[in-house]
Amino acid sequence: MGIAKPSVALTGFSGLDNPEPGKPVARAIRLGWPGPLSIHALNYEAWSTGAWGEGTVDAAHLIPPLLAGDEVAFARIMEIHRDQPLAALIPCLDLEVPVFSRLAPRLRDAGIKTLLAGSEQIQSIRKTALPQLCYRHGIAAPRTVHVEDLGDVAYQADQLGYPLIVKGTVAGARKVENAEQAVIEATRLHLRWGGGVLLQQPVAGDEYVVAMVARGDGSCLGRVAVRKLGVNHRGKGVIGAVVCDPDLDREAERILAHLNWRGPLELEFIRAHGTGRLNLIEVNCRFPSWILLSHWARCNLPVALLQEILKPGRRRMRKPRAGAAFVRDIYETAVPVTKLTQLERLKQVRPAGSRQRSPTSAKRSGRGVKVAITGISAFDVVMPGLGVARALRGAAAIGKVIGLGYGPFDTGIHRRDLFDHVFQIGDPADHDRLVTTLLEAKAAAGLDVVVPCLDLEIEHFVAVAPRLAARGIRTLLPSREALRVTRKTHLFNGAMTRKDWGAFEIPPTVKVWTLQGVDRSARSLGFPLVIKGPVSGAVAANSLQDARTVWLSLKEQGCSEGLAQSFVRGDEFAVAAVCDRQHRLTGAVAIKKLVRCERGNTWGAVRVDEQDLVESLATFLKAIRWTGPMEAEFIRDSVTEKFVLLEINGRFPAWISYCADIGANLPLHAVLTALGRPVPSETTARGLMFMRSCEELPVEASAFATFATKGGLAHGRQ
Amino acid sequence: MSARRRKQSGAGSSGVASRDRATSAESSIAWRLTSRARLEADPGGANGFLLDTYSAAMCVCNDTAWTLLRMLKRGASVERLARELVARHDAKRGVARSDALGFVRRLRRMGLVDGHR
Repeated sequence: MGIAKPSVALTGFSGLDNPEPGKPVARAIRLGWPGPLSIHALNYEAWSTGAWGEGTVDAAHLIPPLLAGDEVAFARIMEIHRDQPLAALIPCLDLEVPVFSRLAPRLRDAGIKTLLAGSEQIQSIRKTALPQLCYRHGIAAPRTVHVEDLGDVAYQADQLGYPLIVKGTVAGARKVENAEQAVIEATRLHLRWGGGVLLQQPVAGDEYVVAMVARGDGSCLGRVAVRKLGVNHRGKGVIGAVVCDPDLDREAERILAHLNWRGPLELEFIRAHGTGRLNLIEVNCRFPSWILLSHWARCNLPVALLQEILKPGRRRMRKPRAGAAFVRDIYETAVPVTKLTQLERLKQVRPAGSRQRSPTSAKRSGRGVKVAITGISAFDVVMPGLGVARALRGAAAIGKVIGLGYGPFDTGIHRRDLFDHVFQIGDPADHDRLVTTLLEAKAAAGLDVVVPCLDLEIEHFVAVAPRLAARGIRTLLPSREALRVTRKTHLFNGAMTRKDWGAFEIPPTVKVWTLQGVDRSARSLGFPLVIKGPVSGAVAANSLQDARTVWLSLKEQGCSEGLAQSFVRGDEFAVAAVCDRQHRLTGAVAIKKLVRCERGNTWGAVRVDEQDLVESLATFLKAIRWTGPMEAEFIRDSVTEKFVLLEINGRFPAWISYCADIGANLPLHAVLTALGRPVPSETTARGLMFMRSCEELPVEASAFATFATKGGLAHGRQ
Repeated sequence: MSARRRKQSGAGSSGVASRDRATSAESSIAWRLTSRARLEADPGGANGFLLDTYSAAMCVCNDTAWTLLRMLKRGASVERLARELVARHDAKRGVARSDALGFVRRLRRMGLVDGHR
């Protein structure tokens, strides 16, 4: 007889924009488990954002870092187990699997079951052991060299030729084109993961991944193969579809048969163009982050694993449904500060209850304002349109939310919870086409207001705003002149930096056009030095060589001009605001950034009361005659406590949904102001923190093709 | 076309004959979608979508392609497909036959149809 309400402990809820698999595993188990179940997240830090989604886990616990050793880890698991008995434990991170494999007998004796391979098997699939594994078992693989000494990277890279993939010994990979790049990447990856790096010859082809579960006897319990349809800048598959290819299935099973494996496994292949040969490029001892797709493909591997752990000897699972697809988007929520503090102080917390469903158009009369939003993708970076849509979705005055996407891989076009309709728009620089598309959207779905959310779009929407207004489509946008003033090249010029802006200052900046200019700026500003691109990008340099490399990299990206500033050490802040047509603030929210991804984008934040800063910003915006949404980013100098302006963005920030969560719905301000309606007074909540994590959505493969060929999708009512 | 160019392009008399034979053979047999091809109809049912389940390659079909694919799901010769094109579009018989053959060849190259005698 099974356990009435089993408790399973999972790890791997961090990762931000490169998500660990814990959350998808938890969601798969939650969605597929036949009966009551309790899920416990084991986190190394309180800001493991994946564990904070409503209804994802029942409890979150802090555990010590792996570096503390097996005994410390075991003691903490036992402490949790004594308080809330655990039936099973599924580690979801590569580095944990060897630890919990070693602890498995003691965990079993204590009543916690696992299904994990032995140490020898785990060693055999390490990235550094891949060449031997493939050679031993006749598995096709690209030429791979493990370089332990970074001094050998340039030589070995030259021997293999370029382009070349540089991989960390645990995770991380990047394609490089020359020895200099190889050394830079190798150094970065080695510092992160240790053990040197792997240099791998790239194979041109399509990427396939097979997730499997092996029973205790090494046989295959279930298997789901996916083709990566969309790969982001990190090389991660953020869009994929299930395939049933007999060759791939056979090869995966053949490899599994050699491994004598137990538990979850991931095999990554590239099918070479031309020859069609499957090349094994990586083996991982855990589920992949897309594993929730196995639930939508009717072959839920996390559930199968848990069932096998609790009651071994299950029958082989049926084949997955080919064509089931996923898109990786985002999930945003506001978490009480008290909950986070509780987790930090007491080492455990119950995050939140069941998930609140977003209000949908079905709840509305349909007579409210119809708003179109651009910038609705999280494919590479999280675009602000997703947050704007979420904020507007919850507003009673809004009748329809319409998404404007650039292509079928814009992840937001598949968000049925956010958008009633989505339409494809082309290059906004083609103004006639832009107007035509918006008029077509108006004819098809109704459209009162459009909110552009991408930097590069704003000037084009400013240009077509009068034509749109003449056809009944309103906007709230700055003038061309105001937009020009906020560009970095103007904002950081002498006139702006010399003015007294009250609570903040605009830092002294040196414009650079040449390497000699970089040298001069370094002499006058010293180090660390920040080199910024004229539109985006900012990299700190600690030496003249660093600064020159950054400048050359900017030039490679096509920048003819850069900006050099002194590096300011301190906490980062941002203010989101909306100005009416008289350039007065209708509302503003200031936040302190608490968690940022590698790209510097905000994934965790808290509202702060910085009234002086907001008032000074209001004065600044009045002075430059700003209209519409905007974001200002600051650093508070840790020595002088003065705010230093980093950047002005002429659109909402990506964290804007948080404003609605705390009761200051700035996107609604923008919509109502665009229509000339008054903005209702609001009462804002305190004590809530902004939290974002990745989240997979189910999609039918046909949706990509339909959007691409028909130019839109209808999610809600017509 | 000069004799030399015909020879270079493989369009000599023997080439033409063998291609005619191939065309004739392709036209006379019944073609059927393989198990790796899946058809999914749009809500209206007038057209739909072809999925290659081996590779997740996708094709959105217009109503003509959709009709031909549904015929190929049950099994159909090139002649039958051509008759359908003539009936639908009032096309010339030779053009319709050539289009139907091209359609089948493309699907065959993708491994999505098999021929059955």
